[in-house]
Amino acid sequence: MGSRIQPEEWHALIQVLAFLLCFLAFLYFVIRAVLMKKDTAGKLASMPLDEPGDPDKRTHPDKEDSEPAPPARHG
Amino acid sequence: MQTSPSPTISITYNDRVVRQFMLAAILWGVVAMTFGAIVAFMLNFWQINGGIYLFGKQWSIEWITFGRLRPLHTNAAIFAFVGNMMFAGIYHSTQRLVRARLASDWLSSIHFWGWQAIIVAAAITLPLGLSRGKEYAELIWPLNVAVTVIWVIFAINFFWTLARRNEPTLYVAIWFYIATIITVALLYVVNHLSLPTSLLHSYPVFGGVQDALVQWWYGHNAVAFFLTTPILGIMYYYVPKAVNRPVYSYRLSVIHFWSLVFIYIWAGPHHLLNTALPPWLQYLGMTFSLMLWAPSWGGMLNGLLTMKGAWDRMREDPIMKFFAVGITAYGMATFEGPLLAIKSVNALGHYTDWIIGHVHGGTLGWNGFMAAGMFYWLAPRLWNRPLYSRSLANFHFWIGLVGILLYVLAMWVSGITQGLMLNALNDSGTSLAYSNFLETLNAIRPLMFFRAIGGTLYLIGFILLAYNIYRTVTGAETVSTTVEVPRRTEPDQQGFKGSLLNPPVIYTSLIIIFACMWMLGGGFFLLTGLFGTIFTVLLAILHFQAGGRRWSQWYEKLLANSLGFTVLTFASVAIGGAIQIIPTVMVNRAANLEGRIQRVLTPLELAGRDIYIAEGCYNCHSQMIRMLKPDVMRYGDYSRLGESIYDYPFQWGSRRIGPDLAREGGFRSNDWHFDHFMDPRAISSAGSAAALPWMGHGSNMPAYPWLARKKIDVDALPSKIRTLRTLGVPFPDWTEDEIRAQVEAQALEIARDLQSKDRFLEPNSQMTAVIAYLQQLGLNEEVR
Repeated sequence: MGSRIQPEEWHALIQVLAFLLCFLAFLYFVIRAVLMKKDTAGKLASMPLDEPGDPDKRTHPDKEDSEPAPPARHG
Repeated sequence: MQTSPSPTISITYNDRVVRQFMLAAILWGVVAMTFGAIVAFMLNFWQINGGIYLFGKQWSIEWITFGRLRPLHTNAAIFAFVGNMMFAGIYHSTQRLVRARLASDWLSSIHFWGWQAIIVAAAITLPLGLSRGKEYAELIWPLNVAVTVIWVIFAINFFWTLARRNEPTLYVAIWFYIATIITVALLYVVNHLSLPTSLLHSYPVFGGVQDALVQWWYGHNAVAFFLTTPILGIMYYYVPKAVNRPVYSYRLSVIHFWSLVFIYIWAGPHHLLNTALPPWLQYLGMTFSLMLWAPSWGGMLNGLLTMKGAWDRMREDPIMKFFAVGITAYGMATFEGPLLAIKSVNALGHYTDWIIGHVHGGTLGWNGFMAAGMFYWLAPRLWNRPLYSRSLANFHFWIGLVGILLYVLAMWVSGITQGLMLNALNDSGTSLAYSNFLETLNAIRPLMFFRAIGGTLYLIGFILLAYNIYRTVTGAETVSTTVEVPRRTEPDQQGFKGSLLNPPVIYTSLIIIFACMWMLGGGFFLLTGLFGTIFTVLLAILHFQAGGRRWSQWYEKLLANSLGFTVLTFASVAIGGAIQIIPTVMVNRAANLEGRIQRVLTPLELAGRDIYIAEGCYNCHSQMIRMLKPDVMRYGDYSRLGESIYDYPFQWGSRRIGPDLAREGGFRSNDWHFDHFMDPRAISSAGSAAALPWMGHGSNMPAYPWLARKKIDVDALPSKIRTLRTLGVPFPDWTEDEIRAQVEAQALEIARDLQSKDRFLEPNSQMTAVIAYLQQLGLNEEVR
């Protein structure tokens, strides 16, 4: 099994470059996400619930008793 | 001072196409799961594999072998079931999140009907044996073109809708949808690049290791960007809706998105661990797979924690149940995936049922249950009628859950059992503990049976869903929601140019270019790269200190700009793909043959190879002996890169339901192959006795008597050989007469050999060609 190919030098570097590139990008987005203002994050997190004319829309942000779906006809 | 109220606009959503896609998803879901159950039972009961057993005799039907129906099952599950479900979810949620009707009803209709037409065409062509021979990419080239056209129509409709939106902010679900559309387009086009030889046949432009790498770059990311990212978008929209609570952490969802987009695309090579794939690529795939643990679990926790405070509803609400288990299954599957991507674990699990269990944990649990939750939530709202039966939905949940558990547990035990048996050596380590492959197959038969039962239970649950939805919508009035929304007056905050031509992008690009020159170049390039990198970094720091606040604004604007955001996403996935594929494409032929080069096939062997692919033999047999001691001891010397260099497509395989065939050539006689094709159990019946008397033992391969009846398509060979010559296979420049003469001579030789052993086979039969092909597997020439 000794004849297995040896990677060329620039192949090995690709892994390092790729890792660095992704890690830096990831780090950037993590920092951006962590630094996001609380009210902005809260507003964005509620976007699915803030639809105009949505019959399921909750009446109060802290109330959890609203039941959106109509009751089933059987059971 | 009074300000005038914002002008509003009345919008009626296009929910018709949502209803169409949803009903199509349910229909095709039943079809896909039915075929899944059928092929699962085929592995236990040879009587239904390739025919029907009646009156003590098996009546052969070539369209219903495991090799032909398994691609039908996988394609139907992925593209027909999840595809239609995904389109329903994307179209429904996008319209509401961006406060705009779909841009074009016409494009929506073409998208729907075009997609269904492709599915029907696939359901006809795959059982007929018309296949490209690449997993999840089996459809023939005219259908590939059709898929691409329909996908482009989908993309135009989606991005056009975004351009007309009345909500400036792009919610994170939309990000996931954008990543899906862009990445699937890229993956699909690259992996389906082919040169046609006729209207129904083509060869991929990549061969050998290149094809293996491209295929699993596609295959892995089909899971990532077709089965995962769109469903994550759906999760981030429908789970808050179902529990009536905001997303637990929007910040976490942003990290989840970017880390998946950056990491997922690199992980494809983990499907080829311990093979002839260059080691640096294997380690790349393994490293990035392990990195996936964090974002995947972050996303799972975000989904589950969104339900926090609403768990009490779980007792009554089937939708909550489906979503909770669906998201948990996502967590389990994404824990198991990186685990299997560790080389030493992969040495045990690869080519076994463990992989099948892993995949189905994701598809049945994550895709299937998220789909069910979404359908049960959507149906009452799209048809303005309460769900027919909540009890039936709850029953669906429980029977489906039992089905998943039975399926996945059986496959885990089966995979680990077979892996351990295949790798087991005797005490001295000089021979295999289970030298007969059939012993390992017999050992897992009861487990394969339990898998089939688990799958059937899951299918029954899904049929109940279909019935429940049918009763809900029958006679109901369809609803297309109309809303009043503030009209958006300002365009995207920065244009396309503004998204790209700005300091952060320019500096980053320059630093990457200079760094590449520095690390990869020599002489002038090295020095230029070194000084260029240092100079650009310093300049960027100074510039940032002077006006960094504007850079921050650029980022915020980019996230609200659909086009710029799309380009950024495309760049991140394209870089990941290019870095893996380009070096392999560049070095494959030059230096990395590893001392051996594949012998070029004869025309008859080529005909046999195409029949081997058409019959889907790669679904059960690999042609890749890994660099592992048990593999080498069982199948022969490990496979070199050069030994598959002329394989268009590659045949390394992904599952060993039967043994590896990489060195099958010359190992057995022609009459052995003839007998095996006519009745596999008459030849391969050795091994331990059946665990249960009615479960049978010995080979579970179908008989292929039709190969002895059907004729070789010799007329197609000149075109095929010409195409392969174009791709770089060094076939001599034969005339059509020379090709025909070679076929006849070699076929006659095999027929005469069989005749001498009292077997009678027409020389121009397909079986002659397949025997010729099998007899050359592993033949190669030494190169220095």
